[in-house]
Amino acid sequence: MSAGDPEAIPSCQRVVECLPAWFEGALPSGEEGPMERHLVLCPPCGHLARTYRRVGDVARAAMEVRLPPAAAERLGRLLRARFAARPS
Amino acid sequence: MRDGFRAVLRKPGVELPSAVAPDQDLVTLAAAGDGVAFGELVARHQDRVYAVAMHLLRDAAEAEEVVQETFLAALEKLPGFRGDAAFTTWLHRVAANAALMRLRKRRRAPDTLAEEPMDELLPRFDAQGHLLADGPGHDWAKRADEQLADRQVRQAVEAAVQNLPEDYRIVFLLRDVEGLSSESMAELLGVSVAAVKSRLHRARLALRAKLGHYLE
Ligand SMILES: [Zn+2]
Repeated sequence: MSAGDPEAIPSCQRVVECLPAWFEGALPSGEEGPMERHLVLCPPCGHLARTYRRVGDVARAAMEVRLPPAAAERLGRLLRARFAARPS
Repeated sequence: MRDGFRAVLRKPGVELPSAVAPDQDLVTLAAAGDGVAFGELVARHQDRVYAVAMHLLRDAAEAEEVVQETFLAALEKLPGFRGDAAFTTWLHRVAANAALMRLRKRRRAPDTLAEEPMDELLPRFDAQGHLLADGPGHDWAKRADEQLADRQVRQAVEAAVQNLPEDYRIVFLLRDVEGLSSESMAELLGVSVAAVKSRLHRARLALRAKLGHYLE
């Protein structure tokens, strides 16, 4: 397959390279069809794409943290004092 | 109590209309001296600001200092914000910048977490350029049939992220966990947008390999 042929199925390497752009919808429209055909026809790339897409969501859910209540109290006291002392 | 500042400033019996009020309305009120509005802004954003600092620094006391610095700076800048996005974006960038400055100061000190080499976590291709399927050797694949406790999953995911080499860890945290734009990060880190995107891509690929069945 030649690189210049828009109907050519891209290589696995090209598909992996293009994943971020594809998920952002930023792939040139002529490349979307061949990319999607590759993902359907090539199980390793299909699997890679499915799991790649989940990384951010899984990390975000697992790493959720909240300001501890005692720290929130200290922040409140600090800001209240500073807010009251502002020149108005 | 979660929202200390809001509770302190709110007069008994006074209900805030702010559950749905846009940040910009609260910014305008706060800039005019309304402490309740400022308290609501703080309550709304304190967890996210803390998360940015805590993920980067991995130290609760330092992260708390960053939160305090960030909101003190916001207080000074109140009259200048125009639009909801401006306030949120600004807060996260100030917090990220403060945390990154602390990280740079620390950089000489030995890290307690050993960074793992990235290359063996990236996809491999055969001589014809075909992607090689994931082998059975990925970290947790052998435990796919076990039901891991939620807390263990969280620890495993967090460890995988925190063990990335620092340049990759920072970009992944700020973009995929905290939601900063690639452009903001390029500016904060002093590198090109292309470099940010390339690091992010490699970080995701490495994590994908490490996190195995958690992503199925
Ligand atoms: Zn492929």
